[in-house]
Amino acid sequence: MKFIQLTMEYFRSYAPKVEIKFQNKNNKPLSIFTGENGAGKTSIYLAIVWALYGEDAILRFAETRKKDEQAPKNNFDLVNKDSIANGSGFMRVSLVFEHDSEKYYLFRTVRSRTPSPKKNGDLTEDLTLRRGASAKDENYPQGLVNDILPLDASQFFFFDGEDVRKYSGATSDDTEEAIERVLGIPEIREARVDVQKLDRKLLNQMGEEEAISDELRKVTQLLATAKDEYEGFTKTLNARRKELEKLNSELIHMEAKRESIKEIAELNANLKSLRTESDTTKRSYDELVEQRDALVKNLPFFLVAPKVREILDRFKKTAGTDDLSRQINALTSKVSLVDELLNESVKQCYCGTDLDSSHRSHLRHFKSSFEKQLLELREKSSRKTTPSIEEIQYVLGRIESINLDFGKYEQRINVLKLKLLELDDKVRETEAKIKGSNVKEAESIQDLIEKSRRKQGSLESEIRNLEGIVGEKGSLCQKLESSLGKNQLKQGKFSTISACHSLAEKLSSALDWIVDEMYAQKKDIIVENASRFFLNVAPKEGYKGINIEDNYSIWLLDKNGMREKPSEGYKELVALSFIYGLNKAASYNAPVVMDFVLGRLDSYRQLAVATNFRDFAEQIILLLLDTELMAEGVNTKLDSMAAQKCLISRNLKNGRSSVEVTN
Amino acid sequence: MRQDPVLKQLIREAAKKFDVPEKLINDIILEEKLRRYQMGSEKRFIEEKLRTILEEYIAK
Repeated sequence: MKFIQLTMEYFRSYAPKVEIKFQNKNNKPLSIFTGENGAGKTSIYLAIVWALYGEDAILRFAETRKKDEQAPKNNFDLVNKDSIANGSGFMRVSLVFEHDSEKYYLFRTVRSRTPSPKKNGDLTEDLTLRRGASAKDENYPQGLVNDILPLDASQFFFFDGEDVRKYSGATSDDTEEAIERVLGIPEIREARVDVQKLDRKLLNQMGEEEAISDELRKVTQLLATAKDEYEGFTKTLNARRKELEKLNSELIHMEAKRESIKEIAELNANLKSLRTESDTTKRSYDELVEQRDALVKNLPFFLVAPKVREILDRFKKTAGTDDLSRQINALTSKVSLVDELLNESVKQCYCGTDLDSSHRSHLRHFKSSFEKQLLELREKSSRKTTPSIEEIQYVLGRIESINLDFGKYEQRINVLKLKLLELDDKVRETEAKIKGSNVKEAESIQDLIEKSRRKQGSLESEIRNLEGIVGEKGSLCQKLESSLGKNQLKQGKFSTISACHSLAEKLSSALDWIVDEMYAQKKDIIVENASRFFLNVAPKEGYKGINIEDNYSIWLLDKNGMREKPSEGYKELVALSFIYGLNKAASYNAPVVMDFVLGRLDSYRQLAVATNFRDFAEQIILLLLDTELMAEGVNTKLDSMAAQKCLISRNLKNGRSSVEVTN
Repeated sequence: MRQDPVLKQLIREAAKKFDVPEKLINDIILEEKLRRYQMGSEKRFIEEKLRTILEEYIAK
């Protein structure tokens, strides 16, 4: 790293804008800025550190100048009073530098948030950094600066002569801190602490994982038990279901049988009805048979009816030739005719002759004669032994009527007979059906059904209960399996955590070892370089060099190699030597900025130190009081190594500082 | 990030001595530096980041 240009705008006494271009010449590493007390030398030192590290660097500076009330403590203290007065609070330091053959443009600016800033909180700080020809601002400007030269290490490159004595104590926390900071040990130590913290967490997690393993084992056992129970209950449930199924089947069968009982009852009822009907029919039949038989009994002619019919037929053939009957009929007709004529209303005869009393008398006579003859004929006829045709027809009619009745009886008897036969068949059939069924078994079926129903209810209840249990056990199994799955997943992480823990443990040991080794090796470098510097600036005192003890105390080693506490006269030299050693051990390539570095040395040491400045760095910026150059030979020595010399002065009227190149 | 040559050598030796990947040590220190230089994770994230780095190395 090499500084090229520093521009200060409203930075402390540098206002409105002061620009310093650093000269770089071969074998002339020094840029010397001299001035009176209060001219603005320390402001240049502060401008550089503030540009690079901002307010943090000012806070650190303030800590080294606790007794100095004028020492700036924050950004507000750095802003030029005119800038505060005009309300802008504007302040900027621009630093152009080169690092690893690349140019960096750094701008740190402060502005006011309020129209009239009165305190540090009213200001806002901003840093931009551009690299090379790029017009783009770096994303992490402070990080980049820290990578080039960390703030912790910067104090051994940019240091205040007033503050170096602290490194020359017999034992010092500052020394320990300084060594660790410049060697970059805090970040390694911090890394180790973080790794250890992580490792502890990993261990805890492993403990948790072990707990999970225990849990896993428990869950596995519970699951096995639950599964056994689930399977056991499922088996029982299935057995009960089968049993129920069988029972249901049996019940269906039994109910069918029970239905058959109902059928028998119906058959019995039918049988009874059939028997009643049969009895009634039988009685009707018997009555009819009796009536028929009576009919036959009262009509003996019945049996000869066909013979009578035959006689009648023969009689009919001869009946037309019977004179007696013909005479009776003729006389009857004659009587009827006379009766008609004798009727008073009849006045004429059929022949047209008027009927008079004589005629009527004759007619009465005829009538009487005819009636007499008719009577005689009828007497004759009644005396005959052969029946008359009317009588025979009457008898025949009767016979036919009875025959008809008989036929009707026969027909009805036949119907009843058929019905009786049919009923008898039905009765026999029903009796056979009733006889064919096992009545006792049928009677016991109802009991069995009832028993089975009770068993069915009990089984159904047991099944419901078992289903509930199986459901619960199944649900428990699922939950346990889910828990097991989750725990197994968690357990799957165990190996990773364990491996991480193992690695973290090794890493922690490695980092620990690195810190120790780093410190040991770097301490050797510090001691070697510090001793060399010390022997260069104090060659005649007979010391062998400087030693740093394990408790970080810095000692001088006398010619016999015995440690010796640095006297007041050597403290500055020992401190400078230590800083030099640190500077070299840090292996950062940066300019050295030294403020008031010769002031506390006597003239002899001033020259010795001035002579050895060139070993510090390729670019050294010296901020010196006029009085620091007064020792004999110092000015000449410094001149020989100076690439540039500048005079810093301050205008007493406006309080503004200016820089004037003098060589 | 630049690295001190002594530190670089020590990391190499530590990697062999403790059977830790050299890059892992580098990454861990780098992460810490990044955080310290305000370029990377905040402190509260560093542990998580370290863990991630470790897990990545385990996974390799």
